[in-house]
Amino acid sequence: MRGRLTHADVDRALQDLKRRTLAPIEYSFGRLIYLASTRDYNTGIYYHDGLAFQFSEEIACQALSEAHEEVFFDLALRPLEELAQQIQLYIESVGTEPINVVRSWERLQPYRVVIPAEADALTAGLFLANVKIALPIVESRLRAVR
Amino acid sequence: MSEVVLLTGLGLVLLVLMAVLRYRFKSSGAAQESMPKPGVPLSVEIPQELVERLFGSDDWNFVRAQGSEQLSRLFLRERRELALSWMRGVRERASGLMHSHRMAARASSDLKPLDEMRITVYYLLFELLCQSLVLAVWLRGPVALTGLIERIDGLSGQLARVAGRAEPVVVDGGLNQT
Repeated sequence: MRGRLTHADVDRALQDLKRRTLAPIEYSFGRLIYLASTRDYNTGIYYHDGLAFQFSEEIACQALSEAHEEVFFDLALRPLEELAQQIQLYIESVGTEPINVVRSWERLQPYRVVIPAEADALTAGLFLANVKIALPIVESRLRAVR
Repeated sequence: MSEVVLLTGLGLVLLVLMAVLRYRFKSSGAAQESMPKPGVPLSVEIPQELVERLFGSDDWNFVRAQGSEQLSRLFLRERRELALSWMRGVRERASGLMHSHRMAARASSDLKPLDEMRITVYYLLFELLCQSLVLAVWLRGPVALTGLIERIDGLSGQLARVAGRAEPVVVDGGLNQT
């Protein structure tokens, strides 16, 4: 399904995406991971079947891209303390032993792929640095509650 | 005593910068490397929110409260790298802007010496502040530098405006008035 890309359509798709898909994800870091996962790493194109069916693939891609940027910049500029809380919430929701997830994140740095293509180098650098700093904090908190 | 050392240091930095500038003015080959990349905006200003987050002291206070020496070192190292990398980018773009301006000024039949002098002074001040930032980052650490960053950021924007107003600047293959 193809259609012309208009700002109004993208905006409607964006609102729809926020209401139906993103709202049930209760914290921003989870939304960021979800939105990044809708992007094809080889092409950089975002896919969402429901949204593409309702609007068009092009509009859905643009709406997902805009939502991704919005969530990313919001998180990147948050205080480190809040980011650490967000990461902890996400890690606890994964369903695997949280300490193992933290260690895996420290070793493999999978969070690097959640940065949108449009992010400037400085904001992206700040986000990556903050996640790197937040991980040992999350780890010590997880150990404390054990 | 420390003020004398600081002033002497700043004076030396200024002298070195002037020598570097003089060399760059003569060396067109080196200047060619600092040409702005197509599509890269000449304005180098960054959002206030980002400056606050990067160089403010809130995050540092939070990290210190964790009571881990290792974590504090990690934080300072990461922020130092970001501060220096940001400054390198800003300086590259300012240098590219100056190069474009010089090229346009050379071809200009209506050169205004006073404007040129003002641009040179802005650039020297900008470079001086950048060097002060490097010094501050290494001596004091990358925390609570918001004031200095804002001055550099403001001056770089001013430089872009003044240099752009004085002469047309070649960007992305065309002539744009910044």
